[in-house]
Amino acid sequence: MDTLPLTLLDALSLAMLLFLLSAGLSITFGLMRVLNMAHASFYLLGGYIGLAVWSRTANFGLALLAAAASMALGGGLLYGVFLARFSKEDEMPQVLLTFGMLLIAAEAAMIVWGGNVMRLPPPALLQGPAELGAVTYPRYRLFVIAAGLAMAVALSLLIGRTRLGAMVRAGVDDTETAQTIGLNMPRLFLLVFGLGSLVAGLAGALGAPYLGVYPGLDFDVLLLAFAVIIVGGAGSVEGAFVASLLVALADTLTKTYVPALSYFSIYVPMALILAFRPRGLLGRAA
Amino acid sequence: MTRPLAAAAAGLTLAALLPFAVPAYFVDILSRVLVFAMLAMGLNLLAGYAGLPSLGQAAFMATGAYTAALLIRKLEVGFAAASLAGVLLAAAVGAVFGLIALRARGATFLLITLALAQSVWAVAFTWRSLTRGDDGLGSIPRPELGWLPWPMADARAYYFLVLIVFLALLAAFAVLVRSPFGLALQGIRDNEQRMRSLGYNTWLYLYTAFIIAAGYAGVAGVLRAYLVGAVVPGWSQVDPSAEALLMVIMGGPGTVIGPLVGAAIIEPVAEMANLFTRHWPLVLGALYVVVILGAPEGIVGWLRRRLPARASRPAASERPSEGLAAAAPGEAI
Amino acid sequence: MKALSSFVVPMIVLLVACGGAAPASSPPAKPAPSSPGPAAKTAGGASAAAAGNPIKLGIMAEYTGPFGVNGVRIADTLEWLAQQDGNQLAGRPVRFLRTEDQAKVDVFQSEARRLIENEKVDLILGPINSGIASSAQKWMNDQPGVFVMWEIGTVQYYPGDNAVRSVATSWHHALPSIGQYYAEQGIKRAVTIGLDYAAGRDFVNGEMQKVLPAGGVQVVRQSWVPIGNADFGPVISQIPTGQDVLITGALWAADAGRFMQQATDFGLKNKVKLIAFPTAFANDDDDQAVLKAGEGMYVYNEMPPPDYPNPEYQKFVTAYRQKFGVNPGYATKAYLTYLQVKQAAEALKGDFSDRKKTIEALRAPLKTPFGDIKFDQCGNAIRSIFLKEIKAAGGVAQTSMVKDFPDASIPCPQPAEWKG
Repeated sequence: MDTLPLTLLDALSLAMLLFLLSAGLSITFGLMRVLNMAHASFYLLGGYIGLAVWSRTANFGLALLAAAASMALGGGLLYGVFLARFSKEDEMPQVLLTFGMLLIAAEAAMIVWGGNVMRLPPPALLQGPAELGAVTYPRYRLFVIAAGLAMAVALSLLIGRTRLGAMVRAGVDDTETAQTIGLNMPRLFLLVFGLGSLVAGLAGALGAPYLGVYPGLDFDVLLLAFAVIIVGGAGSVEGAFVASLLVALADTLTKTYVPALSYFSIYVPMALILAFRPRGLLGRAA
Repeated sequence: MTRPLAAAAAGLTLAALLPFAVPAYFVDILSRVLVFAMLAMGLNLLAGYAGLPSLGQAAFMATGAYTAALLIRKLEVGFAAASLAGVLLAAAVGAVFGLIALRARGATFLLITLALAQSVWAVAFTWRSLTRGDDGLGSIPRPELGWLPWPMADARAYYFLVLIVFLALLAAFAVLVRSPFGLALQGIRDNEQRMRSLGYNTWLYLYTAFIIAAGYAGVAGVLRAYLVGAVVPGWSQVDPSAEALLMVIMGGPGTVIGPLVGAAIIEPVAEMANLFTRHWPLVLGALYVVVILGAPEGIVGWLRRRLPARASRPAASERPSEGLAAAAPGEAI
Repeated sequence: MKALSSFVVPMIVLLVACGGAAPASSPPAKPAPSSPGPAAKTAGGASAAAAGNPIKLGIMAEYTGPFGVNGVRIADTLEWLAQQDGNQLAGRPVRFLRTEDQAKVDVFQSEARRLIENEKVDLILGPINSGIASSAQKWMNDQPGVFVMWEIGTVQYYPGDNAVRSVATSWHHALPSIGQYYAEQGIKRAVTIGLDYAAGRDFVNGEMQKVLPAGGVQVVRQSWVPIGNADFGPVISQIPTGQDVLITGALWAADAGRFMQQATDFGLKNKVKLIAFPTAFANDDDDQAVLKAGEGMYVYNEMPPPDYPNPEYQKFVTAYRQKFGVNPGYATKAYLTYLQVKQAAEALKGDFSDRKKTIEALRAPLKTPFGDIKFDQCGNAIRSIFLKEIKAAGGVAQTSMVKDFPDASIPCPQPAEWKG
C-alpha cells in the first residue's frame, strides 16, 4: 500500500493546526514586539473551555464558538490589564511576565480540570474514517484541514484587503510613523491581541478531539509555535502558513521514516533558517 | 567604602556558621542554593549586564554534570581532571550555541536559547547508551580531597568546598563587571547601536559573555553532580533555566550579589513549597508577575534605592523595564 | 507605581517567611479526613511503639503536574483505607505524610532525609519516579530508612537491603505465555509502537525478546514516538492491515489517550485482529471519554479489573466507587500497599525499629483478594499479570478480565545488562 498520500495528509492536518496556533503569535510579535509566552495557554484553555461547554450542551459548534470567544476576551484582558503599560522597547519584561502567566494558567487548569487526559468528541458526522478511493483517512482530520485553509484565507484577506489589515501592516512596518499619521495604535494592539488569542483558542478546541486536552499540552505546543515563528518570521500570516507547512512536513516525515530522530525534527528547519536567514522566511518586523 | 566591606564580612560569617545552626538534611539545601547561585551568576552576566536574558543556561549545567559524571564512572578519571573537563566542555558547547543564538537579539534570542536547551535535553534523553537516558547516571561519589581531614561525604564538609568555589567565582565576577569588558557589556545592553558606532565589536563582547556564562553553568553542574551523586536529563530542561532567570530578576539583575539573594530565596521555597501549597508552579508564576510589575530592579536594587549611601547615586527612573534594561552601571555590589 | 513597588519586596519576604515557618510536616489533603493521633513528636523505635505514638508513613510522590493525579490517588486511597480500619495499625495510630519530590532527585534526597531524620518516619512509601529510583539507587541503599516501592517499574533499579518492590516491572510483563495467547488468537504479524525513552524501550525489548518469539509472531515494523508526541497519524498510516496483525508496544498516560482516539478515528480497530498494550495503557480511573475510545482494545498489567471474580474484591470495588466516583484502577496499587504494610505491622506488633525484621516482614508472602504475592531474594514481586479487554458495560467504560497469567517474575540477582 502506498502510504505517501497518508503521510502528506498527516503533515497537512498538523500544519493547519500549527498555523492556527501560531498565526496570532506571529502577528502580535511582529506588530507589538510582544512575545506572548501565554499564547500556548490560550490554546490549552480553549481546549478545556470547549470541552466544558460541550459537556453541558453537547453542541460542537457552540463549543468552538465558546473557546474562541472566551480566549478573545482573555487575550484582551491580558493585554489591557498587564501588557498595555509596557512600551515597545520593553520586550523582556513582557516576555517574562507572560511566562509567569503561562505557569499560572497551566497550574490553574490542573486545579480546575485535574490531571487526566480529556477528550472532546466531534459531532457524529465527523467521526470515524472516510474512504477516499485508495486511502482511508479520518474525517475529523479532513475537517481540520478544511477549517485551517479557510482560516488562512480569511486571515490573509483580513490582513491584505481590509482597512484594518492595512493598519496592521502599517503598524508592523513602522509603528512610530503609523502613529503620526493618526492610527490609534493602542486600540489596534488590543484588537490584534484579542484576535490572535481568539484563533489560538479556536485551535485548541479544534485540536481537542484528536490530540486531547491535558496538563503539559501548552508546553508541548509552545515549542512548535516558536519553531514556526523562527522559521516563518514575525509579523506575517503568509510566513506563519509556509513555516507551518515546513515544520509539519519535517516533523511528519521524520516520524514516519526516521523515528529515531523524532525529538530533533523541528530543530533542523530552525537551525537552517537561523544560519542563512535569521529574520525568517517572510519576516517583516525590523 | 566600609559599608560593603562590613556587609561582606557579615555575609561570610553567616555563610560559615549556617551549616552548624540548621538540621543536617538542610545543609544539602544550602549547598544547592550556592550551586544555583553560581548558575544564576553566569546568567546574570548575560541577562543583567549584557541585556540578553536566556532560558538555556540549564543545558550547560547539564553538559558539565554529564561530562564529569561520565569521566568518573566510565573512565575512572580523577576529580580534578573530570571537573575541569566538565567546565571546559560546557564552555565549548556555549561557544557553539552562541554562534547560533547571537544571530538574534531580544525575544528571538530567548526563543533560540530555549530551543537549543531542549535539543540538549533530547540528546541526554535519547542517547541511552551514553547517558542511560531517563534512568540517569547514578553512583557518583563525592570528590576525595585526601589532604583535608574531613571526608566530602559529610554534608557540611562538602558545603564548605562548594562555598569556597562560589566565593572564587563571585570574586572573579565582581572584578569582571568592573573591568572595561564589563563596562562595555553594560554599554551594549543600554544601546548596542551606539556602541557599534563608537567602534566596538559588540558581537564579540556578547559572544564572550555567552561563553563565560556557559562556563559558570558548567561549574554549577559539576558541583551539583557530586552533591546529588547522580545526573538526570531533567537538569537540562526549561524548569531550572526558568528558576535561574527568576533568581536573577528577583535578586537584582545587574548587581553582583543579586543572584545569591535570588537563589537563597527561590531554592528553599521551591523545595519546601509542598509544605504550604501543592501548587508550586502557581507560586513561581505569580512571583514572576509580581516581580516584573512591582520590583523589576530586584531585591538588591530595591534595597539600594532605599538605603542612603553615596551622594552621587543616580535617581531611579519610573520605567518598569529599569531593572532589566538599565541598571546603573559600575555599582559596587 | 512607587507605592506598589514599596510593598512588593516585603510581600515576597512575607511569602517566604510563611513558607519557612510552616509546620514541618504536611497536613492531609481536603477530601480525606485527618488521622487522629497524639501531636507529640516521636523518637521512633521501641519507645515510640510502647507510648502509643503514631506510626508515621511518608508517601513520597508527585502531587502536582501531569503525573500528580497518581500521587493524589494513592494518598487519598491509603488514607481512606486507614480510616476504615479506625486509623490504626497493630494498635498504634497511623499517620500519613504526603511529601512532594517534584520528580527531582535533589528534592527527593533532601525530603527523604527530612522524613527520616526529622520526622522519624517508620516507612517511606515511594518514590514513584523511575528516574529518581535508578539514579539514586546507591544513595537510597546508604540511608537508614526503609523504602516500600509501589510504582518503580524500571529494571535498572533493584531494591537494596532496605527496600521492597511490589509493582510489576517492565520485564514482569515479558511473559512467553502472553505470546502463546497471541498465537492462539491467530496472530502472525505484529507492529510495535513505543514511547521513545528508557521505560518505553524496556517494555518493547521485553516484547521483542520474550513475548512475541514465544508465539512465533513476526515483527514487521517497530515504531518509536517521542513523549508528548501530538500526532500518531504518521505511525498509524504505516500499519499493515489483516486479521493476523497485532499492534502492541509501550504507551501510557496522555500518549495512550491520544493513540486510542486517533486509532479509532482511523478505523484501525476493524483493520487488525488485536490491539494490546502492557502496563498503564488504560487505567480504570482514567477519563471515561478516553476509555470509551479504547473500547475493544486490550491492556495487560498487575492491576486487577473491576470485575475480578472475588467477593471480597467486589466489596472493595463497590465501596471505592461510592467514595471516589470511579472504578479503582491505579488505586489498586494503594490497596496492595496498604495490605502489605498492615500485614507487616501486625507481624512486628507495630514496632518498625529493627530494619532487618521490618524488611523481612514486608517481604513476607501476602494474600490479597486478587491473588497471592510473593517476594524473591532481591525484594522483587512474584505475582499475576492480568490480560483485560476494555469494554463499555452499562454506559461505563472499564477493563474486563480475559486471562490471568500467574507467577510473573524477573531474574535475581540483577543481570549485568540492566545495571548502569
